Amino acid sequence: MTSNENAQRDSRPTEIFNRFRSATRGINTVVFPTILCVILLSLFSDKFFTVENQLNIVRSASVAMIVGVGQVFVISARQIDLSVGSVLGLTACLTGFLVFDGVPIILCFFFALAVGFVLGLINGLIVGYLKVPALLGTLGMLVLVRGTVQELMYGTYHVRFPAEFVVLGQGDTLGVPNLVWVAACVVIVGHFVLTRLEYGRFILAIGGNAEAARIAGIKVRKYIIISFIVQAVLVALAAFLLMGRMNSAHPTLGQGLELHIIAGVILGGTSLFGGVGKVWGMAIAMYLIAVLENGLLLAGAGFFWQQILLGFLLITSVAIQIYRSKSGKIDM
Amino acid sequence: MNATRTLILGAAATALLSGAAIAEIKVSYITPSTDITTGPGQTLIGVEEGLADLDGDFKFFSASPPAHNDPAAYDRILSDQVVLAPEYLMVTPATSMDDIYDRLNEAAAKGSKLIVFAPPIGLEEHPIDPLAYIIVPEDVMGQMAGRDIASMACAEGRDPINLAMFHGIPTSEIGKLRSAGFSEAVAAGLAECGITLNVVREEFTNFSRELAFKTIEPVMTAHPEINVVFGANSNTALGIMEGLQATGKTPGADGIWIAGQGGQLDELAAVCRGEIMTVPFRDPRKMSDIALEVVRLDLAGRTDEIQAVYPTQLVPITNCDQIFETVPQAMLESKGFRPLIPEEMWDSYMK
Amino acid sequence: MPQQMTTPTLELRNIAKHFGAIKAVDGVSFTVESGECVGLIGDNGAGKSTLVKVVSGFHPQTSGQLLVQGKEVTFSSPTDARNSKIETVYQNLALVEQLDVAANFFLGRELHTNWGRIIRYLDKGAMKKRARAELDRIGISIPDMNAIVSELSGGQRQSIAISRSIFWGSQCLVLDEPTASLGVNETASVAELIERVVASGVSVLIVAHDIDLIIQLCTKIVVLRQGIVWSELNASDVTAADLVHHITGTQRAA
Repeated sequence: MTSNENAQRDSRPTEIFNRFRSATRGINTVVFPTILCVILLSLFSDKFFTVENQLNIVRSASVAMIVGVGQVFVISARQIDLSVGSVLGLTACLTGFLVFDGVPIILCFFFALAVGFVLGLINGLIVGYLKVPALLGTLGMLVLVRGTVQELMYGTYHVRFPAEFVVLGQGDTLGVPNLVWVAACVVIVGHFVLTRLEYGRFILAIGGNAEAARIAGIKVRKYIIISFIVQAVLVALAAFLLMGRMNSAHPTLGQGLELHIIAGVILGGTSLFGGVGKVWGMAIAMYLIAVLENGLLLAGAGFFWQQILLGFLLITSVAIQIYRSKSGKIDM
Repeated sequence: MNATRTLILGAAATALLSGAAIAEIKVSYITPSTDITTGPGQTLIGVEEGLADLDGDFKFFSASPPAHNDPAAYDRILSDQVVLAPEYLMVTPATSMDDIYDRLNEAAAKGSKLIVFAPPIGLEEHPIDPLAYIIVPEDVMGQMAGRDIASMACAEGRDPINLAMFHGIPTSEIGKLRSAGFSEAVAAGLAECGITLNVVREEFTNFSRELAFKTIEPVMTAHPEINVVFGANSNTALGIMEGLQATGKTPGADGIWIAGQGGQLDELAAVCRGEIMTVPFRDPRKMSDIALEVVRLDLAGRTDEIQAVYPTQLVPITNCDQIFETVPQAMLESKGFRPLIPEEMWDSYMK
Repeated sequence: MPQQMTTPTLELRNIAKHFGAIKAVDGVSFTVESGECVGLIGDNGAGKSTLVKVVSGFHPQTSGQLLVQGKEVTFSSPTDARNSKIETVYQNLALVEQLDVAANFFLGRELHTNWGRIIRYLDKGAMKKRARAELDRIGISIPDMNAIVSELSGGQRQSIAISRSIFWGSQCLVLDEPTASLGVNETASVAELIERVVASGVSVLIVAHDIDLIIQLCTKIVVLRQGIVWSELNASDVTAADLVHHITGTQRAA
């Protein structure tokens, strides 16, 4: 992203190479392994590159993309939210009670978002007012909320929702799964908010240098709290859709989700050290994770390869991030 | 980036090798766990090996979610199966049957024939139409262990019985059936000889050896009077046993009685050592044999001979003699069993 | 030369800041006249940074008065100080390194497009244009408004931070170690910028360890020691060696 001007200065025979290099430097790191994996995996199964399977992959990734947009905001602000999986489980189970009570779907929807809002606000207050570091505060919420939903359900779960509820998660519109439409909207809006709106600018400034943001008059605490709320509300949206998709709501729903989400966000180029957020990169990374899961399975490879590759990609991508930021400084 | 490419190529090459046969008949087995010490893991190996011996060109696919009880990941894996559309889709549900109906029906609509390893309840209520159910009568497994504990208590006059129940995952149908079967049978059996039963503690340890290990110590501290502990699967029973030993308690005939479930190999070894009192055994290899038999019959056009439900035989195990009579020797010779019992014991049985 | 007739831009009257029993600043008075550069020096722990934080609105003073253009003010936040046209440029704290030049220039005071005011839609084009114009006016060469700050040199960063403050109409600029961690050439260019700023009529209060810089730029030098004004000197009357005696030795001129 740094050196369009570098390329312009060099007009030697290597210009084409330099142009290529500077052009690719602006491209998110995650794009290359994604293209590579898609090409390779399509060699091993003729089913892989079909429209049906690609839609299936994107649908699989859509829940993670929706949650991921919130986590991009949170991590860009140099915070982290580990409680997403538990919030997903609690929101789904609580909303399930309303669905079975015959409450209109639209009200159930707003109820789910309200649950997310409250849990996000709690996260935000823990971090913003009690000054508990986000890593620990949301870890506490991860355990606390999971315990709450387990106690609430106590061995039971919701299943077989009314058909009009299920259609949200399972139906298609214009041949594309509803889940994918929603995820696409959330990603586009998320990208717009982060790059074009003042809120996104403030989040990045806070994540990059909270002290400078404070000196500049930005209400740091307020925006950190908002980012936790946005995260939890998006989790609630994902919970609402996932309930329909699975046609059930389990108290274990979302267990381990936080690692999947954080892996995708970091893989997508968002800096764990704050100040840099990449919504598109996150969406591509979530697609990549789903591609690995799906493609290796279709190829007949052992399932654990997905985890091996994902772990490897994660380490590589963070190493490249750090290398890029260092070399950026040394260059000058 | 070069390193990334190398690794991906490596993975792809492995993928190619493992699926080298030209796909004629696709068979998938989706299981919550591929761990070979667990029942589903052993059934998985049984299916994979059995297919190689079956007539026909088979390509085998398997998958399991990263976390044992992650219903969302399980759902994604089943979505992939809908795309793959294998001729035969074998499934062991992760948490409950209810979670997977929609995906199973989507797969069936694409032409996959279903073989379901299901908990033995409400089969007729499932809105799916599988080729066959292969069931383990989990409630019977619980009852067997309950009867064994009751008859031991009656014979020995251990009164009262102070019982701690270590349940499985709260939502697991298997866990609920086993716990309920045990509770019911132990209460009935003890009532017959007039022994008092106190259920002093109930815990959910999620079928986790580690969690059972960590939980037993504070439970025993709070209730030192406990003299029987029920573990809802092999790993739970083993975790309880190890936890008791780690805190200086003696599991076994003269100490705290542990009732296990399932009969994983290391659990059987603990029975031989006298540290676990009763383990109803279900043979995961028999389950895979049944599944393959269903495939064989269907391919031969003898679909009408396939039973709707195949129950798996359970064997009550309370001592080492029964183990050597019941369990195939090849399994006993594996690392999961033989090194875990004293060598002279092994030798005495081998004579 | 301080002009006694006009109203000082900034006046401190007996400012004290105590943290419990610790008297970090204990009754400091001095003035910064319009278009004057005042150097604030002292050893570590003399109370310089606490005093800067009082002036910039971070800590309210325990006692004493702060007057801006002759009017008494009370600051409860840095925003208050900025509203009174006092801008503070902190060493290493001023800029967000991950954002570009224009974003930093307008940080906390973003411009919005007319149609996008409700959703607070950033007018990136306008911000870039105005930042570029202002930097050109002050004579700072930054090749690319899209450049991320972490890719710029320390001197460029300091220049951006200073010109940003000027741009926002600051009457009194407080510079905290403006040349720390800069090379020789960069120090010279920042010093030149400060001279231009002072010449334009803005008051400047510099806190620095670099005594030569202070003598070069400032007309008045205030030496803090143990929370009080130990000496107040005319820059033209002293040498660097004298100042060292004031800071740590026995010399005093209060």
